[in-house]
Order: sequence, then structure tokens, then C-alpha cells
Amino acid sequence: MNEQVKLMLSVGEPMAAGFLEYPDGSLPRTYCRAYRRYYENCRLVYRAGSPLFPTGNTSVGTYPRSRTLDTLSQNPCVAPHYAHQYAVYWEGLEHKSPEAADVFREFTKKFYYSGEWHHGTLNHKRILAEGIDGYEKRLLAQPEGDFRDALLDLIKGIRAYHARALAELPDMGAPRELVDALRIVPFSPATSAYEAIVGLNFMLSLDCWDNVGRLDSILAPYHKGEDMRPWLRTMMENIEENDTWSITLGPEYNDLTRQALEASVGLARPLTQLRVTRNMPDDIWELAAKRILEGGGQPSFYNEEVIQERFAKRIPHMTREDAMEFMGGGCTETNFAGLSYAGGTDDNINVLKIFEGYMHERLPLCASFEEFYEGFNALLREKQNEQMHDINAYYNERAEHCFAPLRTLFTDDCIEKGTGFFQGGARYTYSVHSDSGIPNTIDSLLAIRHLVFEEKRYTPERFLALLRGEDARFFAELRTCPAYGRGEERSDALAQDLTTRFYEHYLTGTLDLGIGFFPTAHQFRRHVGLGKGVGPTPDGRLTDTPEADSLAAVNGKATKGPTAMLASASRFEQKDIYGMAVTNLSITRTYDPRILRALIEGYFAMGGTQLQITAVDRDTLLDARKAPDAHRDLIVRVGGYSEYFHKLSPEIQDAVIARTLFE
Amino acid sequence: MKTIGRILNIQHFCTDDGPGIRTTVFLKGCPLRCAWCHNPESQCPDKELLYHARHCIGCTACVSVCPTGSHTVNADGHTLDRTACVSCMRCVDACRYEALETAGREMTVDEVLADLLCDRTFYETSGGGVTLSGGEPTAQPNFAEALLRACREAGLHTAIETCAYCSPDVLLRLCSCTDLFLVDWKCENDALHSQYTGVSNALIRKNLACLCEIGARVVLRCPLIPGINLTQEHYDGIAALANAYPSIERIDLEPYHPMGIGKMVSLGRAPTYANDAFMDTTEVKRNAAALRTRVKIPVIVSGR
Ligand code: SF4
Ligand code: SF4
Repeated sequence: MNEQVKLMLSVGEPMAAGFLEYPDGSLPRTYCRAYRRYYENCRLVYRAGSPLFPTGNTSVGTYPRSRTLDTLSQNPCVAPHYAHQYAVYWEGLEHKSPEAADVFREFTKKFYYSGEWHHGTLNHKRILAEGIDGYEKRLLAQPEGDFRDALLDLIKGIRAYHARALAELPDMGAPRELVDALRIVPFSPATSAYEAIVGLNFMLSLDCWDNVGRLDSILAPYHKGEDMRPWLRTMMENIEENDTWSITLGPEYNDLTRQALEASVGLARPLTQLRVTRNMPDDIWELAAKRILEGGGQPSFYNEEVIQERFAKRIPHMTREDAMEFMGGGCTETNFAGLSYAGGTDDNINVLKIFEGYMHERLPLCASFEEFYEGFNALLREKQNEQMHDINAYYNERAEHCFAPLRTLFTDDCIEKGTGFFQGGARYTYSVHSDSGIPNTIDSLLAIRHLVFEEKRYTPERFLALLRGEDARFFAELRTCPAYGRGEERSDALAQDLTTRFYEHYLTGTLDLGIGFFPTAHQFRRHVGLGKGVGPTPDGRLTDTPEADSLAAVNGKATKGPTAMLASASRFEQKDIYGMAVTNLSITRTYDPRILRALIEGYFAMGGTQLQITAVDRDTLLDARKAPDAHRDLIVRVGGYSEYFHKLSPEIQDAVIARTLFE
Repeated sequence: MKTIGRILNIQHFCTDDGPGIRTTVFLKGCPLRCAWCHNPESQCPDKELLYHARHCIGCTACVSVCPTGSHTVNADGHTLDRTACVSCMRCVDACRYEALETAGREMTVDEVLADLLCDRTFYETSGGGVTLSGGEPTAQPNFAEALLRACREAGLHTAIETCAYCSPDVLLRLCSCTDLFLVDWKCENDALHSQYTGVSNALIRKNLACLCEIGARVVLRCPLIPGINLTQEHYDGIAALANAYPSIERIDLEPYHPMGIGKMVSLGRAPTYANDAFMDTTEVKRNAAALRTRVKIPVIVSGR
């Protein structure tokens, strides 16, 4: 054992030690050994009596108490974050041992380490059907070499973790059935509904609970009519406790679709994604509408027909079967369960920020609106080219310096290709990213066209001076200008032109490792932060205030009601937004469920892709802003996800309150 | 189609004016003068100038363009003297802050239809359609009929909300292109009816009978106005109508709300029914329950 390994072990950092075991080893070797050491040593997190293992928060404090250090001893400093990526909590490592921190800092220089993560999921369907033993068998059939041996090493780690659980669970108060089930799953194929969910929960925890994929379809082969809601609830509470992401339901609706909708009542997570077809049964509509009107923003609705059409166009070689595995990773980034490497937060172009700079420089020099508008489009194309170039470089760099052990093992077709997940082994590799501030930019263009070029109320210089000064009268006037979100033909036509050209351009880029670029129109919660650093803009937005959320109209502009807002959103060019086009709609809780359904069906019939609806009353939000503790269960939809209102920053809370609420 | 109507407003996503998601077209002009009117800016058939004081910033643009000197802006703020106003609406064009507004515009059937069709998909998914309201649609019979026919031809469900104070011939004409009539029954007592709406209810009663006799689908809409019609006599009257005509399929009780008062102020008129409180619905619900025991059709309390 080399000295560095000993040092890491002495400070209770087995995963860091694992990274150092093969000083000159290949990427797969190095990473898989580190993960193996992690699994051999991590804490078993379980609550007595729970039907599933693990139960609770496994994300932090997952090493047993170190003998050598008391402080921070339960806090691992090198640990998986999402399981495709390790994370270093430097502060803790420094605290444990400055010397160890120095050693590990030196080591990380060899590796590309980035704070950016992405979302996806393991192929849970296949894991339950084949068992990890089946994966091992397939690996053994592959040519010998580092890649194969590294993954076999990883399996040894998982085996060790599993064996420790089996040995200790009886003393931890686990029911006998749980221990019995764990003797089968996840190494052998599941033979019952209970084993299936025990196996799923176990594997989900290894993947740091990122996303489940199509829950109702994964469990369907094992389900014989059991009431699985208590088990589903436990798994969902695990996801919530670990602050992670999503489940997907439909479009092959079954009894588990219903059970999952019922089991997640009152939880902010997992985000529940419901794929909607024209034939979705009435009782599922009713359940979904009931959930929405209870508040909490769950589920979100996906237009199956439109989504499938798009995949067929963008990924012509994708089989129907693979396309069926569609799921939203994280908030809602397009993924195919167990088949894709998709990125997610790869980059963001702040379109409004670019517009701001362009406007101040170019508006006084342009003789016509067309000249101004075309110049802006040309600038955007340049920025997009730079962005795609950067993302491509980033993917290549990650391929060279990073390895994702678990995702490689459990994502098709990494084993058969003998290629790592980050190296292009997944069946579908592409980059999902988002761009923000587009609705604000559209309204800014509309205001300039109206006031400067058509009505000629202001010279460009005067217009910009009043804008910069945030002149109150001027802003009152800005707010009366034409706007996106009212179903107005002429305004929406400009929105459509700008977005068509913008999103189509992403089809031109090259991603060396895969298919290409899948833009999204969703901002997680970044639209608030992204507004900071952007000065006043002609959409009537003041300095540093938030940008519009996803495809939603600028706050206060959707004055013609939800149908007009949705009509406008459907004109926003969605067909090339392969990553996901998110539309947020806030309504009051008094909606008739049938009207709610008609709104969703109407939007989808017009070509809308995705809709997420928060049903809430403004008074409740205002009250929660003042007295957060009195509303700790209030959940709202923001960006692409749901969150407890009290957990949001005050700025984001204000942005949610300011959102147009349709009564 | 080029037939021209006087439109007050076209409101999308209405869910209280008939089944499903609807767009309601408010026509301008009404033969009645209900004291409590929620839409007083719809009563007069002509264009009217609305002034919303809360939006005014005192920029004086209106002062400069007004040919009659009707606007004044001084240290005390903005005042509008309507006596000399000739409704040229130049001041509305000049005001950039939405403080001045024209109530009423002329539109052709085709123009209105184009706006209505924007929501066609939502009508289809909700079983909704188009409702003509007002003002009083029957006061513009040619336009109302042409628009309803155009909607019919476009495959839209049609409804009309009417006070039924018109020539029975007009109603008969509209019957052939209207799927649902929402007919107001404002006050059983004819003396009170005359006092608070300006007309007798006799013609309305006759028209209601006529509609029902030819089998039109009718919903009876009953505004409940404290101090005017919350009487046993009125409830008895509603029950009697419902029981007399099987064609009436539902009763909507509509508790008073004071939205009309602000609009009266914007019109520069003194409120004719100065009650700024929302109605307590406990009593309405009780009366609705009582009514349900006397009729065989649903009794609904609107907006609740
Ligand atoms: S133009 Fe409008 S804002 Fe200016 S003073 Fe007249 S009413 Fe007020
Ligand atoms: S409508 Fe014409 S006359 Fe009347 S106040 Fe305005 S500008 Fe003056």
C-alpha cells in the first residue's frame, strides 16, 4: 500500500484512498477502484422497520465514524455526488488533514473536475430483469482489459456493500421480508413486486437517487395487483429527503400509474412527469387534476404525440422501443432511461444580456427595425456558435479526464461497446442546455419596433436615455406596448420568427461524441439570478430583476387570460426545442377540474410540449412570504421543478408571487 | 361578412357564461338601466370616454390635443369636464398611460369571428364556445344574428345572454342560430322592476314564455340585489317560472358584486346603486337550498 493511500485511510477517506491506489492506472481503473472503496466503507443508512433499504438521507455523512478523527468524521469529503461524478468537499478535507488535502489536490489536477453535473438514470428495467449477476456475465463475455476489469472491480464493491447490508440489517430492525428480498435483488432477477421495488430503491440509492425513469413501466412486469403505495411512498420520501429528482408515468397507463399519483401526495419530490396521450383514461385525468388543484404543482404534463414526433425527426435511427423510454432528468431534461448521456446544465446563453449590450451599441446606428433585428439575429448566431464550440470542447475534455463507473456499467450499450459513459458509450449522447431571457427579449424588440420605428415617439438616443434612467413615466408607457403572451398575431409572429431561427441553429452544430445539441427552454431557478447584472430592458423590466420563467410571458403581460397565453406559447417555436420546452402556468385553486383538463388538452392540440401548473392563491403566497413557518408545506412550481416555497430565496419567492395568476 | 356591430369588449376564457371555456362578446347598448349594472359602460350605444384616474400621471398630452378644452391639469391634478366633450377620442390616442380609454368600437362580423377563432381548440376540448352578452345583444339584432350565424357555420357552440326586452320577432330570428339562451329574470315585482331597471317586466315574461314554447334551451339567470329583490315574492316567481317551463334547464343565482361602481366613476357618472360590499353568500346558499326543494332543475350559485 503506498503512503498516500495510507494517509487517506488514516483520515477516514477510503474513496480518496481508492483513487490513489493505481497511481498510473487508466481512468476506468482509477475511478472504479475509488467507487469500490466507497461502497466497501460507506455507512448503512436505514430506519428500523422500513420496508426498503436504504432509507433516509444517504447523501452526506455516509462513512462510519472514523477511529482517528472525531470532528467531521461522519462527513465524507470525497464521495459520489450524483453517482457519475465524485465531489470533493475541500473544507472538510482541509479540516481533517491539510496534508491529505494537498495530496488529493495534486491528484485532482490529473482529472477534469467540474461543478457541472447532468442528469440521467440507470437502466432499472434491465437491472431488475437480469440482476447485476447478469451484467457480470455479459462483462465476462467481453474481451479482457482495463475497461472490463475495472467494471468487475466496481461490482465487487457493490457486492461488498450489499453483503454488509445483509449481515447488519437484522440487527438494525429490518423486517424479515426485506432481508429475504435482498437475498434475491439486485443481484438476481426480481420475482415479485416487492422484490422489484426493493431492488429499484437499492439501485436508485447507488445512483444517488438521481431519477427513476418510467416507474409504472419498470414495476409492471412484477405487479400482480398488490397495493404498492406504502412502498412507493417510502421510496419517494427517500428521493425527497435526498433532495433529488423525478419519476415518469405513462404513456402505457396501468394501476401503478394511479398508485404512484396517489403515493406522492404532499411531496415536493419526486417531480412527477405524466406523459399524456389522447387515450389517457378519464380516472387518471381526474387524479392528476385533483393533485394539481390540491396545490404543489404535480404532476407536470407531457404531450406524448408531439414529443415522439420530435424524437423521430431528431434521432432518425432511434427505435420506437427506445423512444418509449423518454423521461425528464433532473427538472425535465430529455433523457432515455438507461440509454442516454444528455448533459443538462451544459451552458446557458443569457439572450437578454446579449440583447442589452447590442441595443445600447447598435440602436442609434440602425435606420430601420429590420436592420436592428437582423443585426441582433446575426450576433445571436455568433454567440450560439461559440457556445456549441465550448460545449463540444467540454464534452471532449470530460471524456479525456473523467469516468462514470455506475452509469457506464448500467447504461446500454457501454459494456458492448467497451466504452465509458462519458466517452460516448451510451446509445444516445447529446448535450442539453438552456437559454434564458427570450420572452423578455421578444417584448423588448416589440417595444422598440412600436415606439422608435413605427410610432416614432422617441429617437433611439432619447429612448435609451429614458430607459437607462428608469424613468417612471417611460416605464408606464413601455408596459402598454404590444407583448408576447396575448395571442396577438403580429407580436406572436415576431416571437415565432426569432425563436425558429434561434432553435433551428442548434441543428447545425457538431458534437464529436454524439448526436448534437438539444436546447431547452427552462431555467431551473436561474431566471432570477440571471436577471441580476442585466440593466433595465424595454420589456418594462427594471435593473437586476428576474427574467421571465421559461416560455411564460413577462410578468403582468399576459393580460388576455390563459388561453391567449397558451396560444402564444404554442407559437413560440417549440419544435426544435428537443431538450424540453417548459411552460409554467399559475392558476387559482378554484378551477373546475374539467376546465383544467380542457386547457391542457387544448394546449397540446395546438402543439404545446409540456405544461406545469401551480394552483395557489396569491394571499397564501403573500402570507408565506411573511410567515414562512406557517406554510412549510406550501409547494410551488418554478423553472422546471417543484420546491417548498420556504426553501426558495426571497428573490425567487418574489418572482413566484409576481407571476401572472390566472383566475 | 361586413355587418358592423358596436363592441364593448371581447373577453377570452370565460367559464361562467355557458358550458366550457368560452369567449364572451360584450355588445354596446342596452334598453334597460339596472341600478346595480355591473357593466354601466355597456349601456349607452355610442362610444364613451373612460377616465381611469389611478393611471394618470398628469403629462398634459390630453390637454394639448382636446379641441373643446375638456381636460385640465394643474397643481390639484387632472380634471375632465365632460359637458363640452364631443367624443372625438383624440385624447385617448394622445394618452400613453392607459388613463383614457374608449368604451366601444365598431367591428365587422369577420373581425370579431377572427378573434373568436383563436380559442377554437379550447372550445373543442372543453365543450365551450361563444357567448354574446352586453349591454344587450338583441339591441343590435342584425349584427347579433349575423355573428351567431357565422359562429354556427364555423362549428362553434353559441349562447346569448339577454334581458329579453326586445321584440319577440328578434328572439325568434336568433333562435335558429343560438344553442343556449341565458335569460335574466331580475325582479318578480313589476313595480320594483320598473323602478330599478326603467322598464316593466311584462314583455320579458312574454318573451320568456315564447322562447320556452318553441323549445329553446334556457338558463334563468337571477341577479340577487340586496334591498331590491331579496324577497319571498321574487323567489316564488323564480320557482313558478321554472316549474311552468320544462325548457328552462337551470337556475343561476348571481349574488351582487360591486364591480360596476368603479366603472361608473370612470364614466364620470354618479353610482345609481351605491353599495360597495360583496354580498354575504350564507343567505344566498340558504335560499338556493330552499329553492332546490321547490324545483326539479339544478340551482347554482354563480361565482362560488
Ligand atoms: S394624457 Fe393621460 S396621463 Fe396625461 S394627463 Fe391626460 S389622462 Fe393623464
Ligand atoms: S374625447 Fe375629444 S372632446 Fe372629449 S375630452 Fe377627449 S379630446 Fe376632448
